[in-house]
Amino acid sequence: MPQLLDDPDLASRIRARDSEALALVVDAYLGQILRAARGAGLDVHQAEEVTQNTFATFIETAPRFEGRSHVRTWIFGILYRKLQEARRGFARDRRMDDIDEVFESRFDEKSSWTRPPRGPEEEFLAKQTSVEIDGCLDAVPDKQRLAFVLREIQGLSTGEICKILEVSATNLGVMLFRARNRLRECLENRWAQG
Amino acid sequence: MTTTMPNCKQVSRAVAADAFETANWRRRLAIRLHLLMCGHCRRFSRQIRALGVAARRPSGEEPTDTDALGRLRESILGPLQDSSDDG
Repeated sequence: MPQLLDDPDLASRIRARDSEALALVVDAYLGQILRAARGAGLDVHQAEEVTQNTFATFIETAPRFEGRSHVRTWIFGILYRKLQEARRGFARDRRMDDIDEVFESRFDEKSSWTRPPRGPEEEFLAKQTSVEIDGCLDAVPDKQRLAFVLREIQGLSTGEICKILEVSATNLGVMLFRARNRLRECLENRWAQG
Repeated sequence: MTTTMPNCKQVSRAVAADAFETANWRRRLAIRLHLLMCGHCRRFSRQIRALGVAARRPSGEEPTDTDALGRLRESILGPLQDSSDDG
């Protein structure tokens, strides 16, 4: 499947709305887009609707696909715009974010830890917290959450995510930093409550 | 060697922002060395990495959505079929 999707003729077949090529793309990315929409915080119904709209737009705008970026980047870009339409929070990330203060408050003036991270280490954490993470993800602002999902669940490169979300590498770094810190702080609070 | 060693705040910020990928080798080495020496930053870094592992794991509450996928596929590709039949 990946080889077919990397076919140099694919872009022109998509542009020509070749039904076989379009079906190939739909089959390759339908599951990923639905999962990303769910991961981004939509309920089952909303996620299906957004997924359907994403592919409807993909087919509608297929004649404009120039093939300069990978078709996956193109589709995820459409998903992002549909998410923006569905929920305002996706539109922008806040310039100031209270999680930055929480992070700062854990260090002294020499930038060494004063309140070092607590809680379990990786193996235990990875086994125990997938359900807890879902709960904590709800506290993460929409766009940061989408950045986290694209990076960690979809496993996309930072370069590709920058293209999809139309942000600079520095901005993406800030979003990932905030999303992960908020998640980590949320989980640490839960461990403290025991 | 005038490069200053990064402090805890800089290291944990870099780890959580995936800044590792875009850093030059000197910076990457400095971060690695710091992580070797500093237990707090190491714990932080491992927890950040584990977030990804845990998030990738299916939570179990989502049933297999093959029905939904089939339905969606039909509604997306169905009209295409119709229009190509028409002309």
